Amino acid sequence: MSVAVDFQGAAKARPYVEQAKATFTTVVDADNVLGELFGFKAIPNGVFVDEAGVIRYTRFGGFDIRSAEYAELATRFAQSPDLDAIQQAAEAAGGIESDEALAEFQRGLAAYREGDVEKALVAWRDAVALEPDNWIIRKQIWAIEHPEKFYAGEVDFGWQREQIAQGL
Amino acid sequence: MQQSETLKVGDRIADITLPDLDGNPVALGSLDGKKYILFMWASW
Repeated sequence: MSVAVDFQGAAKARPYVEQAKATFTTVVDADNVLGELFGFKAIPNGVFVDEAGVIRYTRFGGFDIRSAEYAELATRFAQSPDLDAIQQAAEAAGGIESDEALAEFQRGLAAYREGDVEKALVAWRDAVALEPDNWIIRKQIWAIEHPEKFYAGEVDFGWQREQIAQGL
Repeated sequence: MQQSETLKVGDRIADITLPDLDGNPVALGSLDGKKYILFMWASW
């Protein structure tokens, strides 16, 4: 199952799912529910859940489903849920950690839903200022402000590196 | 201030429901009985 983490909702996710001809269900987490629940600040992530609904392995950040490593993990998981031998690659660091940043994030989301994008961006920038290592919020701001860097063909990662280099 | 504990390996996945692309609710708990990998991604 895949989860599109996108404040902009299903409309932004659908083209990617259709292009990938995905055979599994895709759900949309526009409220960052899972980010809060698991405490991740970046994507792509993988969470392996066994038959009993118990979480057996998590990877937060850098979980590339096109990689050989992913294929290996998925194969091992299909054969046995015992992934204890595999070291946790990254530690969840607590989602949006401060109440202040969470309040700004939610204020921005409310404004965005009401169609006030400028107000949303102001609130989300405040959230990022309070929590500079939160890439979920930061990159979502970029995608809204600079759609041409994200939605006109390939995502422009060179541009993103420039933004980071400039401290934006 | 820190928020409450986050989910970790060994915990049961919370019984949360998210909408699919058409808005139909999908309960993550309803996948009990089947192994699955939750892959989180974004258009950005």
